[in-house]
Amino acid sequence: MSEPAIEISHLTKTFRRVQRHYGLKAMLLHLPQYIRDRSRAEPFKALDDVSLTINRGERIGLAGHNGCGKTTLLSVIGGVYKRYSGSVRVRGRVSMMLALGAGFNNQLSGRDNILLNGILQGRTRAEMLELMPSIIDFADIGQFIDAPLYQYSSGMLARLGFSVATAIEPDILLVDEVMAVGDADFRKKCATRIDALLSGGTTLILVSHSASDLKRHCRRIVTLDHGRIVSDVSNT
Amino acid sequence: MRLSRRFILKRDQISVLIAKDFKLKYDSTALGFLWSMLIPLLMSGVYYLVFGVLMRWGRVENYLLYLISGTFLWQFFANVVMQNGRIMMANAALLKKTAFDRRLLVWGTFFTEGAHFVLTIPVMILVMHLFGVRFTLAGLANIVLIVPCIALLAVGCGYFYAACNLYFRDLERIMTIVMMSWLYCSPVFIPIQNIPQKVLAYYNLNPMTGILCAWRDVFYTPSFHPQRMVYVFCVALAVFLAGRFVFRRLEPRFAEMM
Repeated sequence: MSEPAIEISHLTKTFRRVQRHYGLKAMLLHLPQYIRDRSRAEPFKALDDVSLTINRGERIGLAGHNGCGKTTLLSVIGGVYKRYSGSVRVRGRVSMMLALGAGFNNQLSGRDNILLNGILQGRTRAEMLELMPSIIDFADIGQFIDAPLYQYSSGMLARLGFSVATAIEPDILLVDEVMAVGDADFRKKCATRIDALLSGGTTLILVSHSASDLKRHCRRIVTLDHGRIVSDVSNT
Repeated sequence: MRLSRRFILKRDQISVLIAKDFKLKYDSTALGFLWSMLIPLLMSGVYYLVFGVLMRWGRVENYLLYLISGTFLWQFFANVVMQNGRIMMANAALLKKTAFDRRLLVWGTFFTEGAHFVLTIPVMILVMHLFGVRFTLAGLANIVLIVPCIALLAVGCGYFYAACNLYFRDLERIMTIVMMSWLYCSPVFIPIQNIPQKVLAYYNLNPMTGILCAWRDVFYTPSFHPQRMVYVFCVALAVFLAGRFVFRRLEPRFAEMM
C-alpha cells in the first residue's frame, strides 16, 4: 500500500543524568571534583536501539512497566525530543495526548485552551473555530468550559484533552494513559470516537497499563523493557 | 496554496500566544492594561524629581518629554529581553507536549510588548501637545528606521537569554545587572548633552544610544539622520544573528531541560 506512517530505526535516546547541581562558585571551587563527576556520570538510556515500523491505519498498543521508555518514545515521535541517535520518519499530522492537562495552560479557560492547543498542534484559527462547537459538545463539561482549568476535575481534564486531540483529525494519534480517569460513559464515547478515526485512516499509538484497553483498541501490542522492544505481537 | 496555509498557521500561532500572554498578565489585576502605561509614567515622574529637580538637569528643553519618551521606549526593549529569561519555563507545559516552533515564543514577547508600546503612544502625543511640540515628516521618518533596529536587537538578546538561561540559571542575576548598567549607559534619563566629550565616542557604540536619539528626533527636536542608523542596524543584525545561532544550537534539548 502506501508508505508507512512511522519508520523508526535504531533509535537511541539518552538523557544526561544530573548528579548534583553545581552553582558557579561551587563549580570553580571544586573544579577537579566537578570534572570527575561530569565524566563519570553515564547517560541514562531511555530508549536503546529501538526499530519499529508502523503502517498507516495501524493500531498499536505500547505496554511495559514504569520507566521503560513508552512516553519517551511518544515524545520522540511527536517531535518534542529532537536530539537522539538513529532515524525517525513520521508522515502526517501528529496529535499528542500525553498525561492530563498536557499542552494546556492552567490559568486559561477551557475554550481558550482548545484554541491554544489546537493551533499549536497545527490547525489554523479558522479551522479551530469551526471545530469548536463539536469539541465542546464532545467534552460535555457544561459551564466549566469558560472556567479556568485549575478548577477542573481530572475527569474533566481528560474529557477536554481527548476531545481536542481527536477533533483536529490527526493522521497519527498518540494517547498516553488518559482514558483511565474517565467514567464508564466517557470511555465508551472515547472508544467510539477512536473507532471512527481509525476507520478514517488514522494511526493510533496507545500507551496503557490496562490489558483490557489494549486488547480492546489495538491489533498489535509492543512491549518495552528498559528501553528495548522485548515483544511485538499481533492481537487478534 | 500550501505556502499560504503555512503562513496563516504561523500568524495564528503567534497571535494565540500573544492572546495568552495578555490574558495571563492582566488576569487578576484591577487596573489591568493601565499598568503598562502607569509604570513608565511613574518612573518618569521619579526621574524628573531626582534628576530634573534635585540634580537640576531640567534645563534641558522639555525635560519631562525627554524622560517620558525615553522611558517608554526603554521599558519596551527591556521588558522584551527580561521576559525571555523565564519564557521557556513559563511555557513548560506546552513545550513538553507540543512540537510547535519555539522561536514563536520569543517573537511573541516582542509583539506583546510592542502592542503595549503602541497603545502608550496616545499618552506621548498628549504630552507632546502639552509642551506644544508638533510632529513633522522628518521626525516621523525615524520610526521606519527604529522599528527594524529595535526588533532585531530585542529579539536577538531574547533568543540568547531564553536559550542560555535554561542551561545556566545564574544568568538571571547577571542579566539584572547587565540591564541596569545598560540603562545607565543609554540616554534614557541622562540628557546626551551631559555626556563628556571624552567618552562620547564610546557612548555612541551602544546601539540603544542611536535608537533613543532617533526616537527623540521623532517629536523632541524633529530631524532625520539616517547615517547614524546604519551603524545601529549593523550591530542589531549582528546581535540577532548571534542570538539566533545560539538558540538554534540549544533548542533541540529545551524540552529535556525542564
